[in-house]
Amino acid sequence: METTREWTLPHAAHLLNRVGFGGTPKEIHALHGMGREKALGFLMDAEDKLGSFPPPAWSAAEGRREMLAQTRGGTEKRAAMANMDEAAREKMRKEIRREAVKEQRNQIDGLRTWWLTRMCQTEAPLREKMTFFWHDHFACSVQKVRLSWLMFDQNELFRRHALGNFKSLTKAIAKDPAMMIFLDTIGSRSTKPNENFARELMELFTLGEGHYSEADIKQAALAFTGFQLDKASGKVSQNRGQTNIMEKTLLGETGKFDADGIVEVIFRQPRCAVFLTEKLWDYFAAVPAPAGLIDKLAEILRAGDYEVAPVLREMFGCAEFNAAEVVRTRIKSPVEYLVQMLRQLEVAAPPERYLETALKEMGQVPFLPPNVAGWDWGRGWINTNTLLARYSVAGVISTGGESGRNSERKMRAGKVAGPDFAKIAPPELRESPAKLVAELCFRFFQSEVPTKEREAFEAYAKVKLGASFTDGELAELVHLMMSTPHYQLS
Amino acid sequence: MSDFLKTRREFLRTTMLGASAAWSVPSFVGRTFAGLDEANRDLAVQGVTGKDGRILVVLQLAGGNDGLNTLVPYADDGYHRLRPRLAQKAGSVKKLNDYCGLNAAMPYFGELFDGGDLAVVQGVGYPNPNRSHFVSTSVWESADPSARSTTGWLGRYFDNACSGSDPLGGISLTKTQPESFGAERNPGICMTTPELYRWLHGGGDRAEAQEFFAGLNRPGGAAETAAAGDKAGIQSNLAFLERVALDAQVSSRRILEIASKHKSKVAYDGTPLARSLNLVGRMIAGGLPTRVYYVSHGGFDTHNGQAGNHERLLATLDAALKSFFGDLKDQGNYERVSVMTFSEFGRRAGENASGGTDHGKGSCLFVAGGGVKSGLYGKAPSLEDLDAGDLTFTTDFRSVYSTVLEDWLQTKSEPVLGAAYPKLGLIS
Repeated sequence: METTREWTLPHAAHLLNRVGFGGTPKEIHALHGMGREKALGFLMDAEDKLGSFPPPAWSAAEGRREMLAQTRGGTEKRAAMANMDEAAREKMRKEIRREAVKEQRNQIDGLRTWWLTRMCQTEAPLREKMTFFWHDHFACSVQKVRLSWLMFDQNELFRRHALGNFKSLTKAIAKDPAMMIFLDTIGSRSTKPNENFARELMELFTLGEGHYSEADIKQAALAFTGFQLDKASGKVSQNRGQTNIMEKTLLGETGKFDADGIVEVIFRQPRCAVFLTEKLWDYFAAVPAPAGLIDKLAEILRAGDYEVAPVLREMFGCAEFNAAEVVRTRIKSPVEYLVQMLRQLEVAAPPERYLETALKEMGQVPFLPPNVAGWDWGRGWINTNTLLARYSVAGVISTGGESGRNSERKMRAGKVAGPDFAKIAPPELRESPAKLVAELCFRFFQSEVPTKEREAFEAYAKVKLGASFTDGELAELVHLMMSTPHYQLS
Repeated sequence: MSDFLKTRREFLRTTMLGASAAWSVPSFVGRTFAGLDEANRDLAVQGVTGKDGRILVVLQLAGGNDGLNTLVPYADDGYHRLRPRLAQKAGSVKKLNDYCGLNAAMPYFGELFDGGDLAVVQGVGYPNPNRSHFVSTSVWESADPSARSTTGWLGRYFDNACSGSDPLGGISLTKTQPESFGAERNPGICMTTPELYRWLHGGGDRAEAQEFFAGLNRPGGAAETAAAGDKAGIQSNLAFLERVALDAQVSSRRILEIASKHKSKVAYDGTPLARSLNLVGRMIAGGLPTRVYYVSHGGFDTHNGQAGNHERLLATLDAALKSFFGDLKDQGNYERVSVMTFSEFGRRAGENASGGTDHGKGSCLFVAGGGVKSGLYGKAPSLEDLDAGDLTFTTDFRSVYSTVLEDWLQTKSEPVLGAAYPKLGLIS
């Protein structure tokens, strides 16, 4: 594993794209100006100022008990129901359920907007990128968890531990309320242990299939019993009577392991470090790892007792990560696609009312992963429908809602702030189609664009160039540039 | 005219020629359409030309259809005991034998049965059933009871049996791709309305923008890159993207064209299901080479107040199918099409306190069409021998798939399902 020595503008762009969510030409130049070493340090160590992103109001601890009561109708409605006949009561129940579902949906929509806005604006993009990594790794869906504030707490847990210690995070996630609901730890008793969490802990979170036995799962499951959850406060406690405190044998070790003890046993397996390292490499590099590289990186993870930051620093700096076959070959996930686009166009935040539709059509809705194994990355993002969806999202964003379906346009009327084209392409740049296209190509592709594409963009620009470019015409050029296979890669 | 536009027109022309010959564009680098045609001849299954070839319509009843109130065991005392409020009266059901019959909301299904075109499969399910809508849907769509497969059973069928890689082998009329379409190479396409399945351009000079768009979304970049001996990684992901982009562009044009040309003479209801089937009818009439269509009918999660609601859902299904089959008969395509329903699970045998039913296990399903042999298949699940309040399944769902794959679509089922499952003999 050698550190890379080359440091060109495309290298700086590559680092910004992968470690973060990309950026503007100005940001790429600034990063390049730092030199390779400093640039990497800058991205690794960046932190947002405390309080930069005030969380949604409903996530505050104080209001939760009241909100929980509301999902059951609240005192008023419940009192009223006591005097109703069965039919009226049923009607009321339905209404309460409808309202609860609606409220929960609004909250999660709000949380999603909050998170994507944070991705667009954060000065510590790696922290958000790793927060997403953990959301995919320990994938929980609000569909089963239902309580938005527990999803918020989990998101904050991932953010706190984003660049921290994998083992500590695993211990914490085992007692995270959303996870406990999602994988049925709540309600698991020593007399009838539920194996759901223990199984995924080994299969999906730490070791991978083939590195544990069914007996190991059964033994581990005994330790994750007797937990109780207060849904309002999110406080987890353990009922001694329901907990298994007997001796357990798994992965070659015997002892009276509790939940943390099981995690310790698993993390003593060398396989655990390899498993996470492979996943990190896939997430950031997205090409098959050269022989021997994973083992070397995994050794760093193990030597540091599962501290994640050192292994990331080594990975981002190594020659293999900056090799030609890695640069601009990764298919952007829908969230990255959208956030990169907004950052490149210097739009501060995603359009709130359109966000869920856009993400759904492209196939990745945060807080709604398809299952506990997370999303299917890479080529899994792309089919004819999602590709056309990506193109139409590019149209909506670049034109500020002018392009797109009629209903969506109406829905977003006045809600989508389009890019500031005066800033992106000042008047003097608009005089020469070749120069304009070259500038925009750097902004959107950060590298040499194949002749065929560049000529097509220029030809289109020439056709459009009447007396001068209007903002609308520029938006359409941008839309066209983004409606290409190339733009799906970063 | 710029060189760019000229190339673009030339490309279009060769594509059109290719389309009339085989309509398949599996690999664009260094292969001619004549060569492709040659290659197709070696495949076990020939591509359909659109005028012949059998078609399967998969109809999802989303939410978990209550099998016991669809195919009603009216003569079973246990049924009336378990469902004091929801049980269908023996006098109202359309009797199929002296034990069970169809819910009265499905008169057309009754006619189909009498006419010899409706197979009813009883007690369909899978081992260790899961009660989550999501997981159980995955099981059905992937044909993998562990729900971990990244491909779907229809996708594997497209990969294995459909010649070339025509993107139009499978069309799903859903917003997102159903998991069953997941494929290694050829996942088919999905869309809701043909008018929206296209590149939407907001500015003026639409036609011109379309030309540029089409030019940018045809293969070429990857081939050029390969020729330059450049980055292997780019080539593969980029080549993949270019391939999907071409599929999207080409299928979008074809579908738009057909949808605008063909209107059905039969009146359909305004329900989403009827509208979907209407569109399927138009695409069949237009001669698309599609082998599998996928439509969805939702709302079957009847936890409370099931009486009336469930009948409305069944009536919607009944009416939509009646129009669809009428349409196909009118076109002369009835004999080419079979419809198979499925639902992620059935519901509990007993009704709950809210006048509904909760998530259960085994259920019934239907296969209907001109090529089907009427009858009751599989064994009716016992209402005495319940598994913790649930019906035990008697027919593995993969048996239905293997029957449809082998006897209807005439392809080997093992490569698709991973094993051989006994067939049900419901295709005539």
